[in-house]
Formats: sequence, structure tokens, C-alpha cells
Amino acid sequence: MKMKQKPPLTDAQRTYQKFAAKDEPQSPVLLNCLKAFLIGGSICAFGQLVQDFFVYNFDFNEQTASNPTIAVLIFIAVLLTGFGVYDKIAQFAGAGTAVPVTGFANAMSSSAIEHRTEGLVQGVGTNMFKLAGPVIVFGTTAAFVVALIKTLWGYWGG
Amino acid sequence: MLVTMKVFPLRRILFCFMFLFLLVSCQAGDYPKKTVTLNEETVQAETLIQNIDPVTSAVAIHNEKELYAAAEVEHMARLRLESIRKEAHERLTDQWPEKTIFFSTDKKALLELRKLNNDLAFKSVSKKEIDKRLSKIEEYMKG
Repeated sequence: MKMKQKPPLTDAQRTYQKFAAKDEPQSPVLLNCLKAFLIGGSICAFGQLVQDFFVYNFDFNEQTASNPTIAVLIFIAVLLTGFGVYDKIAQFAGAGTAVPVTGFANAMSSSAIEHRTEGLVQGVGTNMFKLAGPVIVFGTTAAFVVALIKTLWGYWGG
Repeated sequence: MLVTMKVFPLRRILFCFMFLFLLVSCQAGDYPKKTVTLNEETVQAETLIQNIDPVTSAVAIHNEKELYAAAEVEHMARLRLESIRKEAHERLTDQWPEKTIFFSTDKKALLELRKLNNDLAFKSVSKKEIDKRLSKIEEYMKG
């Protein structure tokens, strides 16, 4: 399918764009990055604390402790989403709360809460993966590509 | 700053910190922090491992036909854990070719080995108990 080319801008449109760009509030990119880094890092540090808690106090080694750690993080994220706290943290931290596993839990649970009035199957069941679906699709695809590169690298690269 | 305070009320921040501190304080467990010198062979194995660059501490315990060892590495070196494990295993195998070497960088294995090391130094542990604990440590090493 051929992509449609955009028609050239008229003088009035160009003038308006210039005028709008002047009054457009600038996005504080650096500050957003810093916030995302700090909050995302704090979530990961908290995850490390939970993992250490399981290693020190239960019969888990580093590898097996990651399963209950993820379960705890997901549980807390879902709970905070239900109480409406996670949204506020996300407003402040931006991508910092989206990247870790808690972001995925938030995406699923918030969709479920939002569509609960439409019924359990048609509402919650259908819409739960609407936002989380692309994460699974692109995550699996990326994992496949990386694994393929790693295998080929090991096969030909030594 | 005003916006921050509005989004995160102080009470919530305090609650989060209290929860964090609770977790940290629960972590101490009953694991000893230092390795005790048991015998010359053990010290030799520990020194051999500690000579590898990013290793910060190591513990080793000799059984009849096995050598169990674990090490802690610098945080920034955790990306090359596999090569560190390989190198340590090779060094120990070269030194004790007749023994089966079990080496790991797993935290739980390190903690349990250090605990056994301390128990062997200060308590009387039966042979059966040692074998039981070492086989459990072997399981931790395998993951």
C-alpha cells in the first residue's frame, strides 16, 4: 500500500505553527529523566530488598527467590492501583513506574477496574490485555530476536 | 516542591519508609558476617578464590571427596559472574584434582556455607548433620 504524502502547508498554517510553537510549554526532558531514574531505581531497590528478605528468611536461593519477589511487587502494584495511589506516583515519575514489572501490573489492573461495569467476560476479560497485549507481543518478539542474535553469535562468533 | 507535596502526602512517604525499614530490619536473620579459619586447606581454598579480582569474600569447606566454596563479588562485576565462576572452578580443580568441586556465587549458598563454617568452629556438628547441610547447599548452588 502506498503511503499518502502530506499536502504542503499554506502560509496561514505556517504562521499559525510558528505562533503556537512560541507559546507551547517546553517539556522538561532532563527533569523527567531524573524523576524516572530516581523512582524507577527506588522500585528496583525495593525489589532487591524483598528478594534479600526471601533469601535471608526463607528456603530460597537467589534464583528461586525472584518468583515470590515478582509476586509481591505485582501484588503491591495492584493494591496501590486499586487505592488510586499508583496513578499519583506515575504522574510524578512518568516512565520510572512504567518500566519495571509493577508498570505491567498497573496496566492490567487499571484496565480491569475501568471496564468492570461492562461485565466479567466482555468487560474485564476482554479489556484487561488491551494495553498489556502490546507489551507481551513486543517483549516476546524482542526476546526472540535477542536470543537469535545470541545463538548466531555463539555459533559463528566463537 | 509544592506539587510534590500535594502528590505525595507526608504520611504516605513515612508509611513507605517504615515498611522499608521493617523489611531491612527483618533481613538480618541469624547468619554470621565473617568466616572463621578452620584449617590450612580451607584457608588455601579461600585465598585462591579471593585472588580473583572482583571477589570480595569467599568461604570454603572441605568434605571427604568434595570441596564446597562460595564467593561474593563486587556489584559492578555481577555481569561477568559466569566467567568468574568458571575461573574459580578451574583454579580449585587444578589445586585439588581428586576432589569434586562445587563453586557458586549464589548468596544463599554463601550464607549457608558461612553459617556451617561458624558452626564447625564453635559448635559440635555431627557428620550426618554436615552431610545433610552440604547436600542442601549443593541444591542452592544448582538453583
